[in-house]
Amino acid sequence: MTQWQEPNTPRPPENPRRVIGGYKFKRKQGVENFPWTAQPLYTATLQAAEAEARDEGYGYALSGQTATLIASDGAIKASVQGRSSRPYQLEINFTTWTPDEWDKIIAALCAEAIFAARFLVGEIPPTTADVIAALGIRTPLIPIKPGEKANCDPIVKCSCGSPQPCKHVVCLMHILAERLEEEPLLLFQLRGMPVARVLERIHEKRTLATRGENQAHPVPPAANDHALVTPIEQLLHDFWRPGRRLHDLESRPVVAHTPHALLRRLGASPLGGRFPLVGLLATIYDTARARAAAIRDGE
Amino acid sequence: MLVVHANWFEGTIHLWGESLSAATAMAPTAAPAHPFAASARELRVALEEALGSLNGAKESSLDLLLPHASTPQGGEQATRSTTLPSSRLAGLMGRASIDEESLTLEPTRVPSIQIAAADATPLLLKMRDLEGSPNSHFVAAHAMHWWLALAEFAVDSVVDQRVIPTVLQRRDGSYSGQWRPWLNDPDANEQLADLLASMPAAARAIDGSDGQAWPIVDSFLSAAVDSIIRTALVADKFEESIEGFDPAVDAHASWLSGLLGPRDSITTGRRNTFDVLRDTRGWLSVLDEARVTTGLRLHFEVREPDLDAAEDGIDSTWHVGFGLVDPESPETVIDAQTLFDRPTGKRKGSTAGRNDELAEILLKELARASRIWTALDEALEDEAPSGVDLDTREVYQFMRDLRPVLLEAGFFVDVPEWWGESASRINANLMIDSPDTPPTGMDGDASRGNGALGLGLQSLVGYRWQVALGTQTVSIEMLEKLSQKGAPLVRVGGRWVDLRPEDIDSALKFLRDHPGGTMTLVEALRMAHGIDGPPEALPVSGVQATGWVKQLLSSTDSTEGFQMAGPPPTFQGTLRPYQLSGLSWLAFLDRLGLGACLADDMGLGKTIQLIALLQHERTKIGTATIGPSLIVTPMSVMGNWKRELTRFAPELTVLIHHGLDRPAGERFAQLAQAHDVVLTTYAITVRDKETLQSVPWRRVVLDEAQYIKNPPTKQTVAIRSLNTQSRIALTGTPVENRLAELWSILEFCCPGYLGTNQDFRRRFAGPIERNRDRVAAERLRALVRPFILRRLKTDPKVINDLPPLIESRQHIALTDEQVRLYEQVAAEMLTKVDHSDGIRRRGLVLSALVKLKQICNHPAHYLGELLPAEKQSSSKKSSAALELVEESEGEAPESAPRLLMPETLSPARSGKTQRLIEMLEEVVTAGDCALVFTQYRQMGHLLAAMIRHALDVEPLFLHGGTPQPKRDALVERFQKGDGTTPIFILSLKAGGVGLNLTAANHVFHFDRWWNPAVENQATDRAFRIGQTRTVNVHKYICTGSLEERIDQMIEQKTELATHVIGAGDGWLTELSTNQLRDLISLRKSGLEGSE
Repeated sequence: MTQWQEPNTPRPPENPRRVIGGYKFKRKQGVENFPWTAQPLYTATLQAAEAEARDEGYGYALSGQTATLIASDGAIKASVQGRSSRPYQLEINFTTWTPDEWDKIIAALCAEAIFAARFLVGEIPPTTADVIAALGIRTPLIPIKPGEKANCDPIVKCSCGSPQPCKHVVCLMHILAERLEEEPLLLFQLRGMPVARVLERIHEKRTLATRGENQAHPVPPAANDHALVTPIEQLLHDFWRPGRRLHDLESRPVVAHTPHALLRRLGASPLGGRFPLVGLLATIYDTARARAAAIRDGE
Repeated sequence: MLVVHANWFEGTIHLWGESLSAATAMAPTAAPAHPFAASARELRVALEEALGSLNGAKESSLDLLLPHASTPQGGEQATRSTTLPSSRLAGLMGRASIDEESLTLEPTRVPSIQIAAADATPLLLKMRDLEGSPNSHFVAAHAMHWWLALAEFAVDSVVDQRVIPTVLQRRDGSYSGQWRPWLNDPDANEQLADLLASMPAAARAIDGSDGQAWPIVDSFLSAAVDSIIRTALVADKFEESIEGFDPAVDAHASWLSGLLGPRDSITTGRRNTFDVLRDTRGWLSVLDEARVTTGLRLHFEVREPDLDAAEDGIDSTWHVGFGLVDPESPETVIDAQTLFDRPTGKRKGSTAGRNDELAEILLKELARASRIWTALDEALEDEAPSGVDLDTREVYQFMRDLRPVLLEAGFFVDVPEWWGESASRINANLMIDSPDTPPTGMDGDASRGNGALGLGLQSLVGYRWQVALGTQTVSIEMLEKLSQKGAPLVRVGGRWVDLRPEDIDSALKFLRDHPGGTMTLVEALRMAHGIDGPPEALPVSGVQATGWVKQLLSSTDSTEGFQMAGPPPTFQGTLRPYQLSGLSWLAFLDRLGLGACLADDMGLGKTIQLIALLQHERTKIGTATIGPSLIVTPMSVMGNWKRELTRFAPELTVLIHHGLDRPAGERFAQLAQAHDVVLTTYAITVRDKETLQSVPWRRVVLDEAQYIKNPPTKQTVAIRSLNTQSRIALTGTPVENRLAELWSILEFCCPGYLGTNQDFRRRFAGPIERNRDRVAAERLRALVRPFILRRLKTDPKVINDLPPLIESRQHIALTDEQVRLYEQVAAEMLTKVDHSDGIRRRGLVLSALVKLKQICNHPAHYLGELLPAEKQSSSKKSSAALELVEESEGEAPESAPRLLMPETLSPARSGKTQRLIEMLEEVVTAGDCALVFTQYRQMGHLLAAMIRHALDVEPLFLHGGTPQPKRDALVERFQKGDGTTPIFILSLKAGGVGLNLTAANHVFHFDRWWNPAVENQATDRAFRIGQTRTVNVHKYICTGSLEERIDQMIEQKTELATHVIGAGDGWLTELSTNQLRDLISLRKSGLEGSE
């Protein structure tokens, strides 16, 4: 709270403006008792905060002053309603892992089935952080150094202009801690990759691990649906004939052909090369189409 | 004969075969070699004969896991394990399926022909074209159907350009390039799921693998796609395009080095620091974004400008609005406008928070879409982008080119409902002018006397073309005016029309080239349906006609167009209303000189409609002037035709042209002219070609017209060459769905109408069967509609006319072999009974009766060909016993499956089995289900084997030896009605009571039990509460035999019959020798003999 007022400035109201439908901190007690995924960041933020910011931030969290909270890859954007007319805009930017680091991490997480299994039910085994640390990756799974400076992780910004951490950040950290408790896999997105993609990468890697190979394309969802395929042992009496779903395939309507649809979705190649790749690909697709049509029509 | 199988193993396809001759002579060999696999050499010979030279194919072998039956051997615990034939081979051999417990998977080695990936797909597709070809020395295993589907899926991926270049990292760390299908979009993924779920166990059973589907499918698809694309790229020397780019420096050139040439390895240089795998992954992941990031999607809505009705709208401004939708409930759209309308100042929006979040998602989605639609970058410069304004040209571009790509990428795009409708484009419309009655022919040599028939397809009709925009007809001048404006979208009469420049050009050219005039009906109809007419670019919206052509076009849809015929006064019976309209339709087309195909469902009475037509024309024109009609039938139904003609039209004179002493040449011509109807068989049309050609027929009728097959046989050619005024085909199979059959039949009814066979395949059969082309299918349907009348038992117009139960007798002639055996047994018995009495006489009579009934069923039944040697004696003994049992119920439980010789399996040796197979084929193709009752377990086995052999379906069989749990399982499986088991064979005694089998709507009584109550009880398995369809009961009776005699006695309720009913066969033994002679002597009808 500001200690002095300009004579002509109206005094801001004692209590912040109410937000309807904002994110409310649910637990009234046991604030210190977060799981390992959420505790370090929460503790570090609160330790750095002034007592007043800490108390008011806690109060804001309880009354639901956090109006919006959007998690994206590597960042959280939020708005917290204080006493002024417009809510303050907050940004928390996390250090993300580089693609190389991700490759290593995915490879390491594939080595033991336990990780994939627990991730699938939405949990993170505590050993995950150790496995990642053991790879020599400098950014740990759990962020522990919040602050404004460039070498912090995460870098925290609030539009209120007060010294950090301000009460708005404290408020947001409460909500975030609770979110990380419910949804620990969010940590992966904060390090740069959506959870669904992490799971897929792990699955692909596990499939390929047996072959000792790696591939650039994702595995289609149907390939992972093991309920589709009846084990051979159960088909001894119906060993030779195709299953009924072949009929479904044959009666599906044909999707209309759109020229170069995939290429247009792909857009420009991100590979650093000067060769006019996309133009060449378009010609290739047309040449291949003509050839395949000839094969299809038995020519 | 070989059964050919395919397996994919380590990047190549292996074809292997089972040999029918080896299987028949099956001898136990030491595992794990497959005991009756064809040798690689044998396989190559058979394949090359049908497919041409297999260049680059290697002789090899493959280790599979195949099902084996283990049977206990000797006194020890030892078991012997036998390799089982595949379902296809088992069907060909007529081998019964194996009982549950005893199956195991055993490693088995088969010789194979190994074919490289590049050749595999074209080869599989070539085998598809061979399916059903009678000349090849192999048949495809059931799994081959699946492999074909997989190969087609691979080829279609390339045709549809749903393929991606990708990078693989090998074990040693080196990179390679690969072309593969893109399978992650919802449509492709669903199709992939179908393929995985339906993959036969046989296709996965590689010894040493884990039997998973995906690794094989993945490997096959990528190899097939990669080889198709690479072959094309190598042929066109695409590798030259990266010459001069150093792969060590240029990332693209490096990447392409593994994709354009025959080699797949990617060349990288030491200084080349890019991570080709990682970057390609990043690039490809763009395609998958919509699926991976869950949640709301961007929605585009194209809004039309507000315009007055008169404005042409060429220079108006359209708006494409943005919004968000939940893919789960796409009908609710959150408009972008409302998201950015922030509550200012005082409004404490409860939704403000949420709106910010949504706005964020909207922006992210816009950024994603801007990769496809670059114009969005401009919109993103706006602080609150809620939509973009486009001019008419741009919006056209957006809807035509961008929309499909956006949809594929997971966005939602709403366009005005007129967009994409053919009515919104320029289309051509054919007007046919014809008088109310058709011109009649000059009647040259085609007939004796005068039927005053129309000229049929050769009639001349007046025609003109009209071009329409939407629903409005436009003139050439108007078109020219519009084309000068050069706008792709324009409003005509208050309606937007998609005015493609190429459409205008072809419409203008077309109108100038086709000023109208006269042409023949066949030309007009083909043109009206877009064949031989306007260029492909100009859609033909249809045909309008006046006069008799109008009646013709609507003739199968409604009976309004033509005069309804009354029942002919001479018809001895009642015609149901739908039969009367069938008769009227036949008479109408006949009058026009047009051929017709009556394709009503089995049981609706095609025969009597045709008989009524014969009487109808005689009432109209007078008997004297009408020439004879030739009716061609399979041997098995000739007897039925004769009986029905006698019953319903006794006044018609019928000549049966059959048998060794049939007349020929001039004598036949004279005889034929003196009759109303000549009945003959398909076989005789070939043998007596010249004789039959010498008669000018009033009409040629083909019953079971599916007999004329494609490719044309001698028989088909002979029939088409007959000299006739009119042609009618009768068939119970759904001709419209069997395109080869459809062509053959229409080529008979309406010669030339569907074009040459080659032309038909190119235009219709290919696109419809291979590419599931709906436009072509619809066009064909419209084209043939006037000439095919097919009513189903379920049609509302028919169903009310049908009683719940229709009983019919199938009178079937004996074959030569049956006649010989029958007369031999009958004579032997009559001599013997004369000299014996008492128990001995009774024994003789009973055993002879059983034998005669067996002969009527099938010679193999009587000759004991069904039994292993050691069982024959006991079976003979039991049939000679005094106690006549329904069947040998006391027989030992089923032993190992029998092997039947091919001649045993031939339905042609018995009139009854031949007819049964014909009728069951109709049942199966119509998707119906049937019960087949027989008194004899042995006959049941034989029928099961024949059905398996001839129809390739697995019949269910329930008999006295079937244990209770299995009975329940059989009934449940049949009642499930999923189409896999449409035929249920039951022994009369075991299956005749208690069961509920309402899934069946056909009941066959293959042999007769003299007590109608017992038969009725059996019929009631299907005809009972829960039955919703009409039940057709077919009772089989051999003409001239004791079966027919006893049937007549029961029908006429003779005194003797009262003894018969309820008394079993015992009363027969009390008959005098004369009475016996009267009962069992074969009365020849002139119909006996084989085809």
